[in-house]
Amino acid sequence: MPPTRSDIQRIRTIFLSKKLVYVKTADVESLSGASPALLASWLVDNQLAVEESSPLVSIPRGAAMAFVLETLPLEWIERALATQASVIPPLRRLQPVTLLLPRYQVRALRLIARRQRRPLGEIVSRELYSLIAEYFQILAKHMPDFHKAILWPPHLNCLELPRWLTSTRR
Amino acid sequence: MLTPDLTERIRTIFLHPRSFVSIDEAGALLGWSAEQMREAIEGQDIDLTAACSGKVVPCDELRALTLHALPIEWIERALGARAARVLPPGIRSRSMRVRIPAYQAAMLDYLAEQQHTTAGHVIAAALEDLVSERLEVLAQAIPGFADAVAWPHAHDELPPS
Repeated sequence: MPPTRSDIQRIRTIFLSKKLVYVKTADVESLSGASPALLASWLVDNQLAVEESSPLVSIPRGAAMAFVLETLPLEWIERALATQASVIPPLRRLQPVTLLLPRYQVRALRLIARRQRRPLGEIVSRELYSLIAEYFQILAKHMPDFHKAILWPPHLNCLELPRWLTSTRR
Repeated sequence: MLTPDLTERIRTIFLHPRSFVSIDEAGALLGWSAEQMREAIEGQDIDLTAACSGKVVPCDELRALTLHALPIEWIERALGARAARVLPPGIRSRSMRVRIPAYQAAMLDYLAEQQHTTAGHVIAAALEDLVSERLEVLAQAIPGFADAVAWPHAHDELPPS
């Protein structure tokens, strides 16, 4: 589902409010459509501390940004940020590309995008994750800022390949 | 890059009147070395069939390998006006404009250059997994889809769901 007006406000708060250090997990879950269990397992996977004893109330803003980037189409995030989308580094921003593909693949992509109610570019982008994972070392070596772009926002301790590139297709 | 030699080989492969070629001829048409052909046969990456003269490569198999190895627009350009008659509509090229992260666009350009192909072809290869994973669903929703995926081989009827 495309973001509602309140989703847009939440995206803007998470990405633009520099005073914000922590974000309520309820806001992140509501915005991303993720369950509390999914968010909690994502935090564990990314080696972010989770208080086991009490319900998780808030998470660091960088982690919230990363989770939202993983779960929502970038097109929706850019649209919500509008003229302030430049907070996202240039290599992570959307760029129009024109591709020539066999017609059956174009029709398949359009159908999947329509059924999942997601932008076409989002479907294509996710199919490229396995290529990124496969060539990550080479790409990071030959393309300036590639590594930095992949690891943005710098919310994690890791210097390795982020989990969203290596996890199975959702 | 679509060189005159590659153009000629594509035209021979797709406009070939015979139903099979020798293994050596197939290697030459695909631009493979003898070593590459041997590895492909051992790895069962190429289907052979028996003829009076021994093992041969069916021309359908040659076309399938070419479709996999080259961008569709190169094949169309090489075939020129005959492309419309030789290639079914489902596999003809279609332009698609999408918005993807800039690092992915840069990656596609880099990989395309390294692999001497086009960005579209790099994506088309990456999409093959998506298509095969969802073949049944897509075939039910898109008329002619399974035929296009299987071409030039005839596709078997999908099992009823």
